[in-house]
Amino acid sequence: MLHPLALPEIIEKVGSFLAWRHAPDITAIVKPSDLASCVRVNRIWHQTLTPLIWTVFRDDVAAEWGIPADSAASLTKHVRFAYLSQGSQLIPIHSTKLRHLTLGHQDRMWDALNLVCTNKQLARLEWLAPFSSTHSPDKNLVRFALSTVTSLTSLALDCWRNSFLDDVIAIAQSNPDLQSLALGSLINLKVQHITNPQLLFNLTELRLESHWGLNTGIEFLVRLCPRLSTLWFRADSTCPYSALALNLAECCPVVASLKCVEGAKDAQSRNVMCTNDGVMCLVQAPHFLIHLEIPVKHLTYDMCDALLDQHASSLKSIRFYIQSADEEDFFCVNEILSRCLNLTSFALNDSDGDDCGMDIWKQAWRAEDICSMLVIPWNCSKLKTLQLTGASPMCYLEDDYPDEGYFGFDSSDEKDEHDASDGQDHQGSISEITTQDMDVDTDSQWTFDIVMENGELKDDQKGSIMSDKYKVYDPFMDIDPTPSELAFDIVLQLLETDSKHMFLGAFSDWLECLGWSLQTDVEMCELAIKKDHKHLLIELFECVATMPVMDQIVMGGVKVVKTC
Amino acid sequence: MPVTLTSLDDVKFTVDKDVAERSILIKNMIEDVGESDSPIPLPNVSSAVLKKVIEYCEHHRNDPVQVQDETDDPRKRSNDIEEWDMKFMAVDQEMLFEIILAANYLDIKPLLDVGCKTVANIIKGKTPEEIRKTFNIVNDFTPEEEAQIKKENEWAEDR
Repeated sequence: MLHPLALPEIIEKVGSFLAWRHAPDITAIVKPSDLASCVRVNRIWHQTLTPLIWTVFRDDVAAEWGIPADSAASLTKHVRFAYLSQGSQLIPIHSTKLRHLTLGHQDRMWDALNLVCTNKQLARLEWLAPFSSTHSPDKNLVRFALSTVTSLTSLALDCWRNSFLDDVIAIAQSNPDLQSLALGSLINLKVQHITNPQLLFNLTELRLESHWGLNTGIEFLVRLCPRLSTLWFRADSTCPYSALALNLAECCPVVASLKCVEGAKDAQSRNVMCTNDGVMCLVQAPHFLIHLEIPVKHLTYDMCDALLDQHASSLKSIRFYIQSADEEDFFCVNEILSRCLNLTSFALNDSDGDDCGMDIWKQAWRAEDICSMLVIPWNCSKLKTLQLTGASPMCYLEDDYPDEGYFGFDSSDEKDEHDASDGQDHQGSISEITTQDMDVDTDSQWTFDIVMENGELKDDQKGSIMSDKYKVYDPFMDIDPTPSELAFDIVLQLLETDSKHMFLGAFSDWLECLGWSLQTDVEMCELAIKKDHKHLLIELFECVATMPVMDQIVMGGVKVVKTC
Repeated sequence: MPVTLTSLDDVKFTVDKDVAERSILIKNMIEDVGESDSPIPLPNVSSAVLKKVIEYCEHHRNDPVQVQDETDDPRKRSNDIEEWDMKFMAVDQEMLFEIILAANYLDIKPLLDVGCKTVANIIKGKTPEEIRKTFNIVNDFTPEEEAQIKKENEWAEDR
């Protein structure tokens, strides 16, 4: 039998899965040590796999890894993806077959010009800061270099100063396959009379990150993109919302994604927020909006109506960064979740950083406000992920329960706690709390009296436990409660009686019965659920349990994922 | 419409057309010949291997056609093997190699990828000598060549 590992095409394919470890984060790069072993196996392996070691080159790691410059120089001809961000030229790149090129340092201008001019087949080019305040090469040289590339599908220009919009358009037009154009941190881009406004037919993604006030008229670019589907824009108070909306409405019939370029931290630190009028103007421009991601100070009813009246049936993902949230914001969220039937992802991020929502120590939204999102039944049956990063149900035990001591938690402790009780009845009715403290829909009446003795429910009390949503144990009907119902009962019991972190454990058990897993470390004994968030969590997860495809919820330090 | 495939050892396999056409080679042959009841000969593939290949194609019959973009950053390539495929590829080395050769010949890219990923996973963490021993590969370097190559690539080794 022919040995497949003697065939170059097979060797190369095997090597391609060893070349670079899957690194979602560009900073998490791993040495190609397995390839280094492979190239020493035999001659055909060496010949076939050596180019793979050099496919991706980053000069910031070259020095760190001690790549010898003399022997490497000849091997850089194999580089296909080059990221050059360092000032000094440790290893000159001699490749003429680059596919991606990122140029990030001003002092490497001649290297940059040379590489661009000798790689006409470049598919992706990111050119950062060729023109800085201290370094301004002849613009004609840069223009010439860019005119030599005609196969770009993606172009990103950053920190360009004192340029002309028609230069940018000319570069884009000379690359007919260009799909993505990003203009970041431009300064003083002049918009003169556009001499040859040819349309950019293949451009589907446009990213306008520059300060609008310093680049007046840049929104004109939108008019040249008839197939634009995604617009990223800098959402600040200087954004020409009306002009942008008009251009989108008139010239971009298929635009479906509007996204701001800032994340939560930037939105807060740079005070970058869409104005309400701006949002209403923009969201009405597309014919059908599918993805929306914007920072706003507050969600308002007007904004919500403007968005949903036109796009409720098409929206699939929404992310709002908001400065602060009150009841009105969450009523708007409720409206969205009840009207957007095709929604698969919803996130409400507070603009205080932490896009992941796992920071449990931030200032939290009020539980009673958050409950406003549960008033109207949700109809977004396709919802998969829900993120409320400003909701922080967790607290230190001592913060919310200052009179209680420290207890280690495990299930035997819970039993011991009950057994060691002084036999006093623990009675509680949550109906009053439901109506008064939460002020939510009171149609669902949870009324029960729990009487316990030695950790067991009294026989004559078992039948009295009722819930609109759960038909629990009724000895007269001789129906055994399900594990979920039993777990839920414990949760309710601990709602009022629990003054420690055991609620978290019971809540976790209940979630497990529903097929969910609490990712928060239940055994971090110093943590507890805030008292005012307990009802919210119960209400929220009862609602979520009915969502057929939901698989992840993040609320502050509480992350719940579906397990079955 | 079913298609009949004949293996190297003259064993006939009847499969649905859409399953057979997971092989680009077979797909092109069907297009060239047109509608026909004649079996398609596959002289490079034994019946044991063809049976495995058909099993793979039937399981993946509804998968979308893969399109690999050469401009994609290789760092974004996934090395994950889904569970079914992992169990499918739990075979001895001889069968693994035959599947790879068959997938290459029949031009079934996803199967070739899975086979090569499996080999790559076997290679991970091994020294050159261990790799040779595992796959029965002869070292044809001179000592000087081997030393030179080792020196050139020392930087890439894990420390």
